[in-house]
Amino acid sequence: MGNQAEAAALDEAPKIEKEADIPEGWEPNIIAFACHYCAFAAADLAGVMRLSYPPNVKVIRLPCTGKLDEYYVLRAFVRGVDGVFVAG
Amino acid sequence: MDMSPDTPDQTTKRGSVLIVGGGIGGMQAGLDLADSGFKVHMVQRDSSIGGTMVMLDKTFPTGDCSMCMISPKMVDLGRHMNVDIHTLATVTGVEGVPGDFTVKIRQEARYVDPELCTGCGICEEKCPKKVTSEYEQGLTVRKAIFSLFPQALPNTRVIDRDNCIYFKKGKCRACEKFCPSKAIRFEDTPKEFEIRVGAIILGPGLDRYNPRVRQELGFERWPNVVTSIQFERILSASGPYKGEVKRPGDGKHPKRVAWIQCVGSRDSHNANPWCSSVCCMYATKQAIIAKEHDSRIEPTIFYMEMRAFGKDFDKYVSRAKEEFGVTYRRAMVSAVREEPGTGNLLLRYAREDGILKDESFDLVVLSIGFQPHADARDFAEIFGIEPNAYGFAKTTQFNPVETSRPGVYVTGIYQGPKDIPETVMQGSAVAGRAMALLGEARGTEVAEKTLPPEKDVKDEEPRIGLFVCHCGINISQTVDVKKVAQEGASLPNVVHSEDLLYACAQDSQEKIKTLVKEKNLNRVVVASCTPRTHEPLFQETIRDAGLNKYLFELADIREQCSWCHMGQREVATEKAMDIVKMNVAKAKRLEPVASGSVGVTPAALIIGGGIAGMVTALSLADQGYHAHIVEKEARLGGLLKDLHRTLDQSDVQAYLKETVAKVDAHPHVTAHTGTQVQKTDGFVGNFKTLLTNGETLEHGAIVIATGGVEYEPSEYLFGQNDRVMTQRTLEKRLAAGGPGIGGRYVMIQCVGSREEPYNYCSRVCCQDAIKNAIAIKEKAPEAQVTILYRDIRTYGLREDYYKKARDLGVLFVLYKEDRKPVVEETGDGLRVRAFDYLLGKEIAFRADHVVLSTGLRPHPTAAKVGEMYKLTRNPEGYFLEAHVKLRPVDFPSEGIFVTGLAHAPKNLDETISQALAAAGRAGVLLSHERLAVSGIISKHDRDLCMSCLTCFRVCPFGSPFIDEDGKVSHNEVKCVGCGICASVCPMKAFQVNNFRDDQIVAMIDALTESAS
Repeated sequence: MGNQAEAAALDEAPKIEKEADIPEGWEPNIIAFACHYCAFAAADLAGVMRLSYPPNVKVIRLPCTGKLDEYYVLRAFVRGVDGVFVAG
Repeated sequence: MDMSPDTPDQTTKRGSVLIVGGGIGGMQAGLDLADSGFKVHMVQRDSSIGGTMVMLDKTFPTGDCSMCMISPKMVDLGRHMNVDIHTLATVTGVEGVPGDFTVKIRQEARYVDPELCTGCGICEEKCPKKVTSEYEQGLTVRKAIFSLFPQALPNTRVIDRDNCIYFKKGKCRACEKFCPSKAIRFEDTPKEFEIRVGAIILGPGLDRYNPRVRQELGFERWPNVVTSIQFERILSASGPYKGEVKRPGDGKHPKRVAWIQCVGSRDSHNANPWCSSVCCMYATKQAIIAKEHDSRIEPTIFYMEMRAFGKDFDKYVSRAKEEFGVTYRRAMVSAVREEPGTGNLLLRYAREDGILKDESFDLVVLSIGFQPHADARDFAEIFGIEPNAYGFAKTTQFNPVETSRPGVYVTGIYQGPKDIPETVMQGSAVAGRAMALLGEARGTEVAEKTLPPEKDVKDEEPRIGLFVCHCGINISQTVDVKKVAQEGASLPNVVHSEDLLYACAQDSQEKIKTLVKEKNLNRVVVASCTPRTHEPLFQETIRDAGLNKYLFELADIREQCSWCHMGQREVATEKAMDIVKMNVAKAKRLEPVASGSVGVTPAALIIGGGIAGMVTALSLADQGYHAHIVEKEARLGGLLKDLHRTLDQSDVQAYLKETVAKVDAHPHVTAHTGTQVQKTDGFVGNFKTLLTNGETLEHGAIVIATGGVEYEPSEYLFGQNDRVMTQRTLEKRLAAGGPGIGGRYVMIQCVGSREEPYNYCSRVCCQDAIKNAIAIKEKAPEAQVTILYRDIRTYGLREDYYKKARDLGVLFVLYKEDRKPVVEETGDGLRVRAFDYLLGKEIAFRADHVVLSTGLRPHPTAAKVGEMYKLTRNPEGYFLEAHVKLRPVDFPSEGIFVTGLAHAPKNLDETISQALAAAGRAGVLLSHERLAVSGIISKHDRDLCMSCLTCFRVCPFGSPFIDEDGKVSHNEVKCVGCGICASVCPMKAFQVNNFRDDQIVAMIDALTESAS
């Protein structure tokens, strides 16, 4: 591919979305994927100790973080989740 | 011969075992025994099981969280059908014979009915009386009705009668008023009862030295002097300061922190003469963890000798120095004084060159040692066993877990100071001994449950029952439980929804069972607490109602919702709804999972015919299984063939001869000598091994006991001058006796150990040197013996012999790695030059003999064996166990165990303990006629699979394999259900039961319904 063609291809590349301003009071919606044996247990311990954290994170239990499929992460983002937290 | 059962001299053995002590040693023994068909009675003095380990924050050398490791074991034990736990209980009398003991037990009143109590904890919240917390080591308070710690088992609270306002003043009863289950019983009284058991295991654990005795160290006088166990609580994220490193005096963050070692240990004047074995390592761990919590901390450890003798311990100390900047100062602290007004502490100590120095620290931690319980002697008397001079249970080198009374075994620190893995090993070892004693009575006292047939729900539309729990007020004070139940009713496929005060209580369980039948429910979702503790309970409930237990889903709205979002009712309720939604979405896609089983060949293959292999084989054979020993040499015995005496002068050769004779005579042991393993096929319970001599063996378990070899030195003129020899050669000469024992000996320690590339302690050489030094001095008192050492590591009760050697006049001279001694030939002998740190100059010794204390290496065959069974070894070549703390003889691969020097260097008594442990663990496996295969495993679809071998490469357990047709198959017996294969498989030919992709995606979708 010549330089010109390359430049043209670059011109046609889709524009990267501009970062939107974060509205005041906005809270991200977060999904956590946690290993049954460690991170899920840690989330339980946080509760036992009555540690407080924002409620906008929900935990999906996996048998091991090795079970995490990229697809889960992509699916979560496609479905509008703002953040994915993998812990294990 | 009259064989009628009432022959007077014939006793019927009982299939039950009493375990005294609910620490980690007793727990391990309990689980091993209960899992192999014995009834277990556990008697524990405290209101909860757990012992000392539950107080620890992290464990060395891996830094694993202590509670996270032990609490699943506690839950297993608490739920086990074959285990009865008697807390607040002590044994008051024992009668009978091995195989049939009658035990009297006294159980103190708990004042709370465990049948009714749900463990909700409201009583504790409402109790107005605050009491100093024993568990938190006095750093904070608890209530008069309390549980020892949050994860206590049983979780029934207990009333501390001495501090209860009602018991003292006749008024209050707040707990009773607020208890929703009406479980408080002020009228409760102590109970006395008898049980009959076949064997007794003692694991009463330890007391800690009280440092008040050492007044010069200022404990309880200066508030910023704490004990090591207090510091564990300070470090703990669930402790009084939530893991923030603060000093108790003023809450300030300390910068300069000092540890003082050997407080209460190695001191026959004010304390205990023995070494407590663990303090050097826990101080190192605490220094590292403190630094991890707060990088500004500058730790200094004052020590006499760094006893990092265990597997990978020296490397841990090196890391502490190099990566964490921990300063180790070889000095004894003579006084601790507070600097007025600052709360800081001034430590006085003598520097290595003898000059006194005062140094200021912000916080001082006293590394306190272990001792037997104050009532250890009475305890020994009750059980009719002999204590040793210090009050520990008396055992011998060759029978390290047997007390003086047959049928009564000992595990853990009551046998002598030791760390967690050694305690766990002894736990499995005593279990193995009890199994051997009671073999034929296995299964006679355990309960078996009959279950209704499972209903076939395959073709039914999902009909979900949803139960939302208030947990007293634990959930409902934050989450609107009724609203969650109401909204949940409208979720797809939910046909019944209601709220329950306590979902886990007996009445709720019955209700769930009834509703499953009445409303024809085929999936159940409970929204309450964590699946980690409560899922098995509910699974059992629905199984009782005729549903496959995997048709259950638990939504965690307590630990992960109500408890974390207190005071935020609206958002917490919304989150609870989201959690319920995603679990219902998953439940809709749940399918019954068949738990299969495979047969087990009741035999074991033991690779290595040294003492570890032979002891394992004999113990397994005594348990009733066949043991095949494979030894590549013509004679059994391994390294022990060259050992004559132990440190306490027990006769090793006689013991070896006796053991070999037992192996030869035992009908269930076959020794295959002069041969090796060619290959092994199969999996746990069903292995098939071909030997190089053509024999084929079938067996259910494999024990790796490949042993070790002695390091062949090249340094210090070894091989060049006949006067330079190893300890082994010296020992042989001493055993042969004869003239010429006298003369001048210089022994050099750590030859081939504790330096790169072999930076580990060989553990046996200090004792070897001291043993031989004592033998020389006893035979020829005029002989001169000098030991050049780096740290004398006579840990535990071995310390006595270090003292004995010094008393006999053996000289001990320190050398350091960077200034090693030099051995030179002189006209009539040898000269050894070394640097004396006290004098600050070089000194020289004339020597007739230089004796090298050479280290140990793993046996060269370990590499091949490791490769054959896909077992990992550490960089030095020792096999890596499944978990360094709690699974010290298991491998991650099911059905394979490790013991002896193959695992790490260790002394003979420790090898015997570990061999018995391997036999205990293998015995648990072999005791099953069939082995249940877990339901949560990866399922392989051969139609989708294209045999790309990705799974084959990533599976840590070796369960995918290349089948006879050249394509991948999956061995479900080996699978643990981690799902790594499922995530990497490009064809998605693997799916984990209950964690299938469609189930996880359904959860994601349910959570994002409103967002998309």
